[in-house]
Amino acid sequence: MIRLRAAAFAYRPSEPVLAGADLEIPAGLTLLVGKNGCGKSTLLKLAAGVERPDGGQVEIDGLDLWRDETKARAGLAYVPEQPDLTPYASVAEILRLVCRLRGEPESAVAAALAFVGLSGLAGRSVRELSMGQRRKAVLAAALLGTPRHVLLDEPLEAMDRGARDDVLAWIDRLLAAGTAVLVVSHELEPFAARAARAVTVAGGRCPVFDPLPADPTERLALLERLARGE
Amino acid sequence: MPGSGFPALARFHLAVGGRLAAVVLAPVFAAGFGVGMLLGVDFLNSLAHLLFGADGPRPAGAAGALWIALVTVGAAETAAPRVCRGLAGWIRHLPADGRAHRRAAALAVAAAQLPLVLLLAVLAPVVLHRPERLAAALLGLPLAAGAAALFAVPSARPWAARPPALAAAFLAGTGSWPALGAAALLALAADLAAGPLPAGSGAARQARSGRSGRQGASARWLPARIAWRALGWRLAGAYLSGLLPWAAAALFIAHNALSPRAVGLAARLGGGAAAVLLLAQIAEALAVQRPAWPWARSLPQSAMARVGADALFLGSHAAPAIVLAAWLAPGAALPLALALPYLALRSAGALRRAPERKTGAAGEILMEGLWLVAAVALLPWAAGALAAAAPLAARLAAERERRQKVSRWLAIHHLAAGDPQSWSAS
Repeated sequence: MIRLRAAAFAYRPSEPVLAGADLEIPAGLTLLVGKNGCGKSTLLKLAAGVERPDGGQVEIDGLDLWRDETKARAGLAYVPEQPDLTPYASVAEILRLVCRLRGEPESAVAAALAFVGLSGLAGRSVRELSMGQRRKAVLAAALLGTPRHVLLDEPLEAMDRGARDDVLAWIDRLLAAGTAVLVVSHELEPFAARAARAVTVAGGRCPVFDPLPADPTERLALLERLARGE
Repeated sequence: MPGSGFPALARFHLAVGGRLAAVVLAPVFAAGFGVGMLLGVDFLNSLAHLLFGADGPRPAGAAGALWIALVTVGAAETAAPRVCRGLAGWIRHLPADGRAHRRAAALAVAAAQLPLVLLLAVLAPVVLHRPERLAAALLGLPLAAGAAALFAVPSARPWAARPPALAAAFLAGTGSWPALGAAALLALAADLAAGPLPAGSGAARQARSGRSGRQGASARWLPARIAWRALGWRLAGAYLSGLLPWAAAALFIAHNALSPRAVGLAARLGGGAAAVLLLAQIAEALAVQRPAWPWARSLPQSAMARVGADALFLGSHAAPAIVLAAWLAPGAALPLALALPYLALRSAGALRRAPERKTGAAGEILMEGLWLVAAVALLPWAAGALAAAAPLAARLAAERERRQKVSRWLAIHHLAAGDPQSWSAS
């Protein structure tokens, strides 16, 4: 369970993104939707421990992300929209680091790279890869180990057809294993049927829509409205 | 640090950032050493005396320690951005705590100074023959490098960590055993006080500190504002070291009875060398901190205009060296002012080739500029020829601007700062 308790965050003090927001992300797929710039990616960064809240707490399975840093992050996998990997290391070197930190054998790197189709590019700097390949590299990092909380920021963006199918199949496997998956996406159709609930960011809070309408048309209409910020 | 993730992070940073920084720093120190050797046959001995003092029962003292602290902090500041870039991004979600991130980065920055430490370690026995003095000097070098790394690596509490780290780097170079002990304690205190790596992306911190730009300001100044933001406090550092030749000329004139002709020559040489050093340092910092912006090349602006904006920026920042030269000898101003547009345009051109060259922009500017200002110092009329050649320099620089491969990735000089395609964008 990912939990935000009275979380506050602002890039500029006069324009808070979150102001005392409470949110719980249990197992299952939570779709995070909203207009551009409403704070979806920021919420994901707070949940991933990339940004620290100005106030309140972010907890993973009851562990504070900024007090029990190592333990809280142990089961976390984050795929950012901007694949911000160091350009000074090869893709394989970065994945080996992830293996060591997650306590996985380094042999898992080859399988993860093969899954995303980057086996032939393991020795390249991320800066030498296309945007789609960079996203596959961070996706490969998320595949290492058995993360219990997966945070995906626009996971289908810049992916080719085959990769999209693979990502969706991987998400299905995560959901079947009882993983909490938080997805930010402007593409609603691939996730509408899979989503257990929807969240948006508005007025510094995170309203949750749980359960979603069972009827697929109504469900998609609700998600469309949330995505438009209505 | 069980369970902190430190061993894995240290191994990663040593292999990646540390390796790259060492590759960048090794030729810089080798080139500096080589130039020094060319300056005089007694260079080794003089440098060793400057850094470690004479071989006696008493340690070297403050001057040598100050130089050792300066070079180690300079090396650490050069290595740190390469090691630390992006540490506030995706990597923070991995299971490692903030202290482990910072300590691993500091270890890599310290290791990157190995070429410098080895170079200084070779120098120490040149003047130090007493085993206890030599041992203290040799032990002090890695300690100074470590303290400099603690100074350079970002932390949550830099105001608490940087002063003791700087003091430790200084004390480590004094060559006295009590000072070494104090330096070790201060370095430990700096490490404990530093806390974890600061949270949040650079962009977020920048936005929070209100540096995100004044929307109403004129677009005419935008290139200069971008350059100033990219340079930051590096500009102050460029002036501090860039004006050293002028200071040397001023001291030479003040302490010698010289003819007006000799005073003019010294002012032209000192002022000109200072201007070239300023151009080289600012251009190098710009090449690293403000790499080519691919998208901006699609905007309706000519290559000549982009080069001209950079030349104007560089030239206006080198102009104080000419004003100071005129203060020493008013007649020095005219030839230097005539030469400056050519030098600034050549520097703007060198910026465009910096990513491809191991010596960056600075190497090309220094190689060409120092010869030219020496010629202007000896033959002031040569400045007229340089002024006449300025349009040609502008055309050459614009051609370089057009031929740049702006999308090519070259690790050795690229720090990704300001690159909208870069991994540090989040």
